[in-house]
Amino acid sequence: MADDKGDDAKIFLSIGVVWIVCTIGLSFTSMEMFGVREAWIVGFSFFLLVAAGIWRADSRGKKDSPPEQGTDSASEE
Amino acid sequence: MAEQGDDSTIEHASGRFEASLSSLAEEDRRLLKAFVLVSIFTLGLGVLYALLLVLVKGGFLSLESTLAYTILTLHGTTVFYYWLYFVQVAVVMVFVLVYTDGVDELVWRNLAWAGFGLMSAGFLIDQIAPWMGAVITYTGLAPLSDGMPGADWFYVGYVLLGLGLLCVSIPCIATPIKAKLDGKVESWSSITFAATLWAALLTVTSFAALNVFGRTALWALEGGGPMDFDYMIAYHVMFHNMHYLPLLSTVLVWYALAEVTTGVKSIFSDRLSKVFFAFYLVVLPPTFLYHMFLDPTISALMKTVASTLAMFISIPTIMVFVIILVSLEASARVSEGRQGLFAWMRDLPWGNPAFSSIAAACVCAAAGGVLANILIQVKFAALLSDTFAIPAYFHFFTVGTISLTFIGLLMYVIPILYGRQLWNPKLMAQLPWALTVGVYLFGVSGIAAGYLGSPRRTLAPEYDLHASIPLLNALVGLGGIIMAIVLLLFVYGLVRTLRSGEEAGVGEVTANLPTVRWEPAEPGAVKAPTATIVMFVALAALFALTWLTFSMVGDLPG
Amino acid sequence: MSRSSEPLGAVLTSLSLLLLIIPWSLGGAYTAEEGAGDAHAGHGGPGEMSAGQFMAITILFEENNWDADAGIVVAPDPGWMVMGGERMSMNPVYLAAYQWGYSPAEIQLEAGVEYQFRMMTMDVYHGASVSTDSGSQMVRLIPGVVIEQRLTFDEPGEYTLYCSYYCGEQHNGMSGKIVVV
Repeated sequence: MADDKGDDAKIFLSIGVVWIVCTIGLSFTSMEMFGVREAWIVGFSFFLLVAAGIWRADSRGKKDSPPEQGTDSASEE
Repeated sequence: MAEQGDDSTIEHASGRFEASLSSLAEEDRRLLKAFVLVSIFTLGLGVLYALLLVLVKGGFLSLESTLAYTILTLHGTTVFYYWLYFVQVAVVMVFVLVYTDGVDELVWRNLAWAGFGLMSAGFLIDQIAPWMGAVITYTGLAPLSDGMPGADWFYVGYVLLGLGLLCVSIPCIATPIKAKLDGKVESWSSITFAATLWAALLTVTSFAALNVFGRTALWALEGGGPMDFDYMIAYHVMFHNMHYLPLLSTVLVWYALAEVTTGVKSIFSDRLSKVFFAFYLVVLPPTFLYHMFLDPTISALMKTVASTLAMFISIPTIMVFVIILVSLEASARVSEGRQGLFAWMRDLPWGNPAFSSIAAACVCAAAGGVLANILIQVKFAALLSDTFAIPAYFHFFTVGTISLTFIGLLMYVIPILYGRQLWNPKLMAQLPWALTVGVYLFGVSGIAAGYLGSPRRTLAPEYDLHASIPLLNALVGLGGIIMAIVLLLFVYGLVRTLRSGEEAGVGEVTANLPTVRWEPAEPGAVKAPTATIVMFVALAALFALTWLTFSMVGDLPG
Repeated sequence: MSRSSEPLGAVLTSLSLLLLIIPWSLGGAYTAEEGAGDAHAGHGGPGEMSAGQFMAITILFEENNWDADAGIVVAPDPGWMVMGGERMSMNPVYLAAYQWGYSPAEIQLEAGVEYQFRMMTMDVYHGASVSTDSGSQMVRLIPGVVIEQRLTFDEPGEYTLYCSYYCGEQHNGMSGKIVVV
């Protein structure tokens, strides 16, 4: 069964959201851990950026000859 | 993706992978060959260092202390940071190029070449710096490195590696996105998706690496002294990601090789596979604290929370393994019609060295997984942290699971790229099991030694510890010798292949690698009782063995 | 289950591990123990004192507790008291670690007595682990942090104190001794 278009962007977005939640959660602890918060901020920012890039590509992709959906090309029969 | 050749003559299951990889643009093949060649070189070199180390550890060879620790530094750096990353980049590029519809070539290839150059420069520098005096293990221990000659170069080497990885990660993300932008694909295959995920995590990790190693390089270049940041915490944030990048790419190779060797794809949806691949990134942030259980600045409550959250780390690997096992079993039963719990396994392509590699990798991962679960229990921190139990455990993963899996994929990639059949596939199919014996001997003896107090990163202690440790160290040495010999045989076999393997055309070059060709089972007709039982038994064993270990914790004075 | 609901079902199944983790944690399997070398109980932390200050206290401790006849530093009675709701030793045992040894290098304790060790590294990361027949008590010393560890040796004997954290060229030989009488 074909996956929905937009799944790829949604999953990347979800990962970004989880990292945001973890970053916020970290700020509620008393731990002083150098660089952790900054690393996670870079992390979720990039995942959101990639999600946006995928979403944009999905939106703007030409539809003239879409191939078979949801298959691995190397195993296409 | 490049035009595929007529595959009407390609009967074996790996035919499509072979056709796709061999029809890549010449420039992309050249780039892949560069990464593959350096991978093999770094593996061979790292193993030679390892051989010396296990001879010292086992008590069979005596080396002056500084020399021994120099080799320890070189071994860890070469295998963990260079072998694993050169080979992963090669693997992920292969997957992006082969499994993404509509991809003709790698986007921004010159950036990938720049990355190769930077990584190679980092590698060369990190081979020289320890000999200059930067004897600081692959961790680059600071402030130990303060004032050590070559320490600044050591960190500069890692900075170049980080920059290189950043450069190679971007084309691996851009290429699949371009395929969408060009309307060639609406939804990526699960393999392309996971490869893109890996590349995105690599980008993020590269920033973390540049942060820690860049700062430390500047500190060292400015003459050292008091550090204004906590190196070990900053290092572990990056290091945690560095563990899960190889694990994610390893299960991706399992996923791909299962199909290449049997013709079977996941009988579940691509979406399910994508969600489980994504889990690797989801569980990353909450779990990094398990590296810091001996750190007294982290409270008991946080250690308890960390230990709890760390349990989730096993979920993605277990679930991807389940998807593969269920798909294989269901398809095997439909295609071969065998009855009984285990009879279907006889039909798996055991004679295929790549399949044999991933099967043996799973056997090593089983031990690694149980040990990982034990080591993340904070109750064991006072007993096992900083002991030899740690390297004993992680070699189950780094060698027995991850390296073996990548070697398995190279047994397809090298023949296809070079147009030469794999050298001695019968021997190559047995080597994974020999490696597993070595890994288990090294690991089990090492865990026992660590349990009795043998410290890690202490090659030849000059004081007395538990009376059993010398014998256990000898067994560790023996296991390590077996591992080193087998790995060198792998390297030999791969080099023989690309230099003088029998030339063959497309469709024939992997014909000497036996495969089976099963039809995927229909989702509604899945029968996989063995996989279900294996799952439950594995999970039960995971908890039971961990619980049992609690009862083995003796009376420590603390 | 339809294919579109597979991921949700699978995620819920995976998260059901949580059902195991909660009783596992409550069962005490996880709980880090007080005194296990952490700063939570208020026994030390970053910036409490400098390495120089700690070394000065350690030297004083050695001088005050040196037994000339036995030729060893003998740990005094720990003097446990409860202050502010917290159990504390009025006479902790001081131990400094440095490249590449310990001060005091040897120390005598009494069997069955609980001692409060206060330890600190004078330079880089070190270990101050103690070897016993049941395995070793692993302790990591972090620059700038005073580590507290409660130790009770039930059996008389000699116990090796050793560095379990790579600390440079003479790491192999960095050791001390705890003599329990």
